[in-house]
Amino acid sequence: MLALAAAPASAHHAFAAEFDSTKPVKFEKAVVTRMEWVNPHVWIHIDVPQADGSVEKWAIEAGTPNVLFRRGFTKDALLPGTSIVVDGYRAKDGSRRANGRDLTLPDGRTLFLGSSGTGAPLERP
Amino acid sequence: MSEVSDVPGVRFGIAAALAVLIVIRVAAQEKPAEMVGGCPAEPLAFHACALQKARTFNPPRTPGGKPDLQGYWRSRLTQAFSVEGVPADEPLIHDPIMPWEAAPPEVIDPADRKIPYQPWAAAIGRRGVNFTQYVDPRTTCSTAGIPRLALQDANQILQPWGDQYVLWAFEDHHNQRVIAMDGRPPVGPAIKTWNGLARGRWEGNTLVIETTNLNGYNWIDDAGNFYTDAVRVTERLTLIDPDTIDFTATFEDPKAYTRPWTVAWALVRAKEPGFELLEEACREGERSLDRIRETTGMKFYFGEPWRGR
Repeated sequence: MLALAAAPASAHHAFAAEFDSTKPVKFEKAVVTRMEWVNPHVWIHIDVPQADGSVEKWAIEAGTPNVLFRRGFTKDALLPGTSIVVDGYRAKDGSRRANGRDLTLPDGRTLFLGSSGTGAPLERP
Repeated sequence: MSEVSDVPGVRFGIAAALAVLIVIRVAAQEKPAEMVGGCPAEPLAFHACALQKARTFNPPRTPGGKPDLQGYWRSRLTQAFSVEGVPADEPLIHDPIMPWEAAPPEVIDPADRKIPYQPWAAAIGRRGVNFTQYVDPRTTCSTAGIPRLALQDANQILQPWGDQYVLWAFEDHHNQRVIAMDGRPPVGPAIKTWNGLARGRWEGNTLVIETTNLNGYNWIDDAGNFYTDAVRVTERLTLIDPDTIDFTATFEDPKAYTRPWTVAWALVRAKEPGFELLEEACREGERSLDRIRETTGMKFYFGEPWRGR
């Protein structure tokens, strides 16, 4: 499991208030179209295929890029075209954005996208 | 002066702290509770142990003979949620979106490990008015402030030749502090700053940093614990082994508290080859604040709840 939290992650209470815990989403066949490697949160843009053959475009919010980088997860890790499974909670305003929780890569590795964690950095000397 | 300063009431709390550790050990039966710098992994127990180790540890020295604290550091024994700790029955632990985690307090004094707020201030901090009505200033990409910066991401201590300054650089929203070590007098109280004005001195092997002239526009933690612009924060950094610093911060604010209080944690050296601070340009991709304000009605915090007092 590639864990995201390293430095004491803040709960960012206000960010949490933006998402709706009664509206979980899970995308089994999402395809990465673009990864935005920005502070304070990385955004993973995906295409979600629909039953009628159309595609919904969603944006999944992940943690901070510096933490990902130090874990060896780089800009090339999620290239466009990668199929992933991802879940999270939808934005309260109904837009197609979600606060990401878990992401599964094609090789089965999972990446926790959420911003929770206690103080102990997971990297050890 | 050769004695490392002690915090009153430490001994009272040791038994309680070790009781917390015993609970942790029982709960995580796969392996014993971890140690940090050879000391127990709980803030109060760590600090008490660290004081003992500091008595006999002779740190490396700068060319001028001062303890050498230089390098990259990360906090340990910390959590960002609340300095008063997160009990196991805290409902936010089960929040599906941004769960908190159970953790001991970083407050080590007073003995009940709570911030000794005056009654008016207790309604504002401690997940009161601040937490429910205001956006955490760190969330808006403002500085985490003092001492919260030393708890968040990695940081770097530099001691330029001549020992007239200590520079403390922080990855968190790329802040820096310049600590004057030359005994210059403080400036007057009318000057207010986000990260304060710091005056440092050595007490034996301990770097003592006194910071005043803070504007009070920051929170101490996610729970909205706070101080006013009258605060003086005194930090103490002591190497207890080559890779571990005992860190404490004492808050004195006659407008908000009934007495001083202290937090403690460890700073542990980052030793990955090639480690350096990365730019953490919080503002560049920030796109949530407008929506947060619209959907929650939360306000931006500039010490507003307490400024009228």
